[in-house]
Amino acid sequence: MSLPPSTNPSLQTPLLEVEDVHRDFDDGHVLALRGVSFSIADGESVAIIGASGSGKSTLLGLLGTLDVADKGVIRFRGEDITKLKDPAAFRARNIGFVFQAFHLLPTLTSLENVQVPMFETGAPMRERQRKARELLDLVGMSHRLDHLPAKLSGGERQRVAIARSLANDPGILLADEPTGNLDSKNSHQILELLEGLHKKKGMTLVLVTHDMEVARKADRIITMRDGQIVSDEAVKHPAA
Amino acid sequence: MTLIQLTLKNLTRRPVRTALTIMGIGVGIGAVVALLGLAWGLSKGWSEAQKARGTDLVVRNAAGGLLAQPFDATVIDTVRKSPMVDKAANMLTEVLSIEEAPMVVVSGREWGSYLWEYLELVEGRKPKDASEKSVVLGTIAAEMLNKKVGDSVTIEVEDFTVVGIVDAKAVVEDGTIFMNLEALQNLMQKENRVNFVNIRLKDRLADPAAAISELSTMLPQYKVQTAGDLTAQNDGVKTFEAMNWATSIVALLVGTFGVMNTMFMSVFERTREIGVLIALGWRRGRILWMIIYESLMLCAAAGVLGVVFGIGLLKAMSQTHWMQGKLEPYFGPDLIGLALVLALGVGLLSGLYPALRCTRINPSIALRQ
Repeated sequence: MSLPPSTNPSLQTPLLEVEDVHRDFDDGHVLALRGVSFSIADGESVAIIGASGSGKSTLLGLLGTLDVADKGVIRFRGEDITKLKDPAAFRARNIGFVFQAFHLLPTLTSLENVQVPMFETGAPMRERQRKARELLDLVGMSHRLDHLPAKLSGGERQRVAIARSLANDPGILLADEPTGNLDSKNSHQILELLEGLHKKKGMTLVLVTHDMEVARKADRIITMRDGQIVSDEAVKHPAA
Repeated sequence: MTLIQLTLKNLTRRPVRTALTIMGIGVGIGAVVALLGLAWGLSKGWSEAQKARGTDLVVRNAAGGLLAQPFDATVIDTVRKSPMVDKAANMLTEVLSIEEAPMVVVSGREWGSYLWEYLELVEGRKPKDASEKSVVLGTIAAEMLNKKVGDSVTIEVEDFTVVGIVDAKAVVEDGTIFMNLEALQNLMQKENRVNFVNIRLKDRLADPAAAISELSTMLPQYKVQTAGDLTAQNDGVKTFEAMNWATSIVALLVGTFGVMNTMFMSVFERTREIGVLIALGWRRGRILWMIIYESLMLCAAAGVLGVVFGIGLLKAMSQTHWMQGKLEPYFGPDLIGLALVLALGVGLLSGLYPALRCTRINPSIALRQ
């Protein structure tokens, strides 16, 4: 089942195009995605919602080239990313990941964690440090540069993770339940931060969540059930 | 932060395991240093002894053994016919248990030969003539046997008077009891038998090949060797060295599996972290190197520890009765270099497989762990 791409007139340039994507596991016994199609425009923010097992995280993995579709095409700026020779290099340049469990490296400080993706850019150490400071400042963590993840609250860890996701100026940010491990106050702050990145910096954002309240912050909500898209609707935000 | 710094942090996060792994492989490297230090020390000690004597070539029985089989003492007459030979001296060497000391080298030397010349008196005198029933002790032998000039020493069943203590310029020689050749031949019931003919050449700086060739033709049933080759090609020394290498290889194998186990555990525990690195766009080659660096760092530290431990062990062993005066342990830069190279080799070998396994991690599965 496929639905037409967003008709939002301000977002006509497709950044990401997904065409009839299938993915199964356990030799076809688990059909995680069954013919998913949609597109995401440059600068758009899209929430993908659905119950556990609906296929939303599998879809996010495919969009981020962490996994490979069994069938179908995914294009990023027109290039088919299901047949990349070096998906790691593609991820390093174009994708920013934010995970529910933060996934910071426990032995590294905030400043060091943010530098990790920059190893692949070949930027000199001084430049990596400068940029990491700048990003941590952007997410409001400049006072915790030398703290290890264990010394940070959940909200602070997610801020560092967001700073890390921006390290290589990605074209798109893929966030998998970014507030799933946070209390409501921290959730709110993280959503504000992501919203700010989208609105002020024009960052394209794909947010996987099962929380409708979180999803409503996006421009568009794609709802999934049993590996298929059941609705794809623009969100009407009240005028600011 | 560099990749090396990041790797170092991975090791310091688990200090106990890192320390235990370093100690495990360090003991292995230490064993290599100690065992090879003994083997090379034995070889070097005997070579130095020959050098101290001023011996260029040695004639011995073609049959092997640490101490060559005795042969007829008249062989020296043939040797003396060679125009290249300056001096030749018969020698009978035995290793005997003397009083409380196990394994003391007893060297019977032709009285008046050049083999007595280099022995520098510290106390007393050298034997007066070929028939005097006396011995001269090397400084270490005197210490080991707790004897001074004028004391009596029982060798096998006979008593000999200690008439002098000498500085013999090499550890093996300093641990030796020197006596007249005839006295030792009689004592050991090996009349007119010797196990070495020591030769000093006229042209000591020339290539000894010509002299070896000439003497070998004159004495086809005997082995003519340079003093250095005598030790290097000695069956006993070679067996000792081979045994020590074999033990060293076992120690290294145990160490290699130990490090490999640590690296596997480390990689296994960090599957999710490695998945994160892959998700963040790290090339698999960089992850491979990160794991190999970790393994190399562990083993480099173990190499340094092993060298220190091995040298300590060698020094302690050299003070025992079994080794004193017979073997000076060797720990030169080549041995230390070899130990460090072996340590890094173990690091590379034991890190490679876990690293290769690591690069096959599926990030989407790893991130769910």
